[in-house]
Amino acid sequence: MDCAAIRAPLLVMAVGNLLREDDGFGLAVLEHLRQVELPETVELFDAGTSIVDLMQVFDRRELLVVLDAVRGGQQPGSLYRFGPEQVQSGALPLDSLHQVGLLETLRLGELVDCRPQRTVVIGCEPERTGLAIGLSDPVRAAVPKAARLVLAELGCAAA
Amino acid sequence: MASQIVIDPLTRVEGHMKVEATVENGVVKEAKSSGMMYRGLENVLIGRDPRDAARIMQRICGVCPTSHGLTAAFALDEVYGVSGAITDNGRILRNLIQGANFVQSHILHFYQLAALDYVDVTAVADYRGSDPDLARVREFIARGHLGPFVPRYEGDYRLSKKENVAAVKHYVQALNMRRIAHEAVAIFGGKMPHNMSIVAGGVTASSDIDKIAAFLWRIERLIDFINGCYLPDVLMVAERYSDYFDIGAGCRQLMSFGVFDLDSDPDLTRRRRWLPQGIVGADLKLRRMDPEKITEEVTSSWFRETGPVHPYDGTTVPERDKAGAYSWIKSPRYAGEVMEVGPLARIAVAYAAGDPEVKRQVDAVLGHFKATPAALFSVLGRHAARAIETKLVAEKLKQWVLQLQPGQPSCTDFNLDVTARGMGLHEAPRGALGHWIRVEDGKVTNYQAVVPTTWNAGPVDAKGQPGPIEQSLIGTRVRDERNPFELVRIVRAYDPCLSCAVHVVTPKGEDLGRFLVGGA
Repeated sequence: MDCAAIRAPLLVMAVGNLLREDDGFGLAVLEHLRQVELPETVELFDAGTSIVDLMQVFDRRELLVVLDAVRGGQQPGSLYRFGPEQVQSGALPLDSLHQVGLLETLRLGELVDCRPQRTVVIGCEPERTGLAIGLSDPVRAAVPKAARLVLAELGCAAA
Repeated sequence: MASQIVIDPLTRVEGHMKVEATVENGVVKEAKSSGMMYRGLENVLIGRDPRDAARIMQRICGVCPTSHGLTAAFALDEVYGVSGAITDNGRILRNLIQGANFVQSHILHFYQLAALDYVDVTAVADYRGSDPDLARVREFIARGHLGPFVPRYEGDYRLSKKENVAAVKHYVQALNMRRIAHEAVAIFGGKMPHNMSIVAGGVTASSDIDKIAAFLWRIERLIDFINGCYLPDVLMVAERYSDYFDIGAGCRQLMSFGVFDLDSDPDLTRRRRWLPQGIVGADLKLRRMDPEKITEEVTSSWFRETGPVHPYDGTTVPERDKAGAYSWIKSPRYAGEVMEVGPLARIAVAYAAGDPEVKRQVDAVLGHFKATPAALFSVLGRHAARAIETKLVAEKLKQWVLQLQPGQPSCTDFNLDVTARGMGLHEAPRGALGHWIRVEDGKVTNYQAVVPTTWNAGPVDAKGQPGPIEQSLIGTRVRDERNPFELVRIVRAYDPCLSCAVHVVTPKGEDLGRFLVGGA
């Protein structure tokens, strides 16, 4: 049973904890995209909170689009687009006790030749990340815009 | 002269754990283990449909979602009155999902989280051979990309160059093995991470010959890795670091809630489980566990003071400025006693209960080191127990998957509109996990989860008793206070997990403004 043989080449992956308000941004974009007719080459995946478990999910994809909350110091609801290589330089001090996050998982994946050809992160500046389900107004308003950005990445016409 | 060592955060997975040790004349006098994240996710469930617990509780943790989903399902079984009606297929499928999850989690812990405390990855820097895995690691190091291999504390690496290189090769192989184990979980869990098939009353996944064969094939490969790499590597580390059999004893009271059901007795304290429920002390004599004697207190925690209360009556009300508090973790106690939970507890309880396979494996390891069972209460004892458990669980999975009856039901129906309470007692890979739920007219009115790291990493209680990790640290000799690898090794052997963090990509030192693509 080789799952890889039937795997969609384009993966849209939501990362984050829906129990922490705006950290559920990615999942909300995913739900939005579920209403759109997408080509069969696209798979939507809710990765939730277990980043270190994802290697086999993003193995052998042409494109990985990651949706996540991103703190970049801008107004809540601001959207960011960047590649992992753009935040790697100097971003991970070797002497820190950092976490196994997306960037580390992508690197671990390289070790076992298990990686997407290209990765793009679409992030949204959170307003609140307290303990509750539901997005703040500015982040909710950013969801359709983010969905359009994802469709552009996938080469699909905006719905 | 007293000095302070601060390690923050320590867990390597997301979430933050801080350990503060006060060292005098090279020996730890006082240790404070703190959870630096507020965990009050149970509050999210109040007012919701109880069935949501099996989905929502999986999201409280990035490391043990599967265990939270299953434990919630056990609590819901009781709420809906179906604990005694779980079908054999439902019971076996739950065991397969959780067993494969144990295997992936333990392999992750040893190789990706703990091994680099003992294995020197830089031994591969001048590797000249043709192995592609090692060549990739060498290229990583050459590019200064130590990313996956740090943080680490320097020094005291004792393996030979050849052994280090072999262990690094296994580190890379372990990544592939985890992929295989994840696929095994997903065959019956529906998806990994955050399984979809775990529900009150059983498991929604069906079993057919293809799935059984796919699962079996993966377990066979995992068994080869466990026998060929994982167990020998743990023994190799134990040979060279044998002084760690004398370090980190802890509270010497071990408790297991039991895991891997062999029947569907409605009373979880009487249900037969392959790894049984119970308590053992340093004498390795088995005592019965009574869940009524479990309490949590918040003397040293940033929560509103409630005194020792049973989880059914627990509250989670933060009080950030509370005097004397230093942790977001509560202090769970059993009959007022401190308890260590985890693989060591499960294996010691099964050993004391006389399980022949567990006894044979433990005695073989102890015999190899000419050690007594007392040596189990140590850093290496915890690693050895975890490795032994991985081997035995994988072998059980091979048997259990063949007991599935394709076409037979794996789920039981129930009435939704209930007023009831329920208790889920189960074991996550890192230890005893309990969920307690109260339901009125079909809606959740209270929910409390008491998780393994709360037992192990909890702070000092009202009687002045430190938690197990704190007790493991106190009295430890630290050779170099700027490089306290002894303390890191002690804490890591517990497999602490405080991963309730928000996943926010925070590229340090980078102005993300230049990546802005849309205004607010």
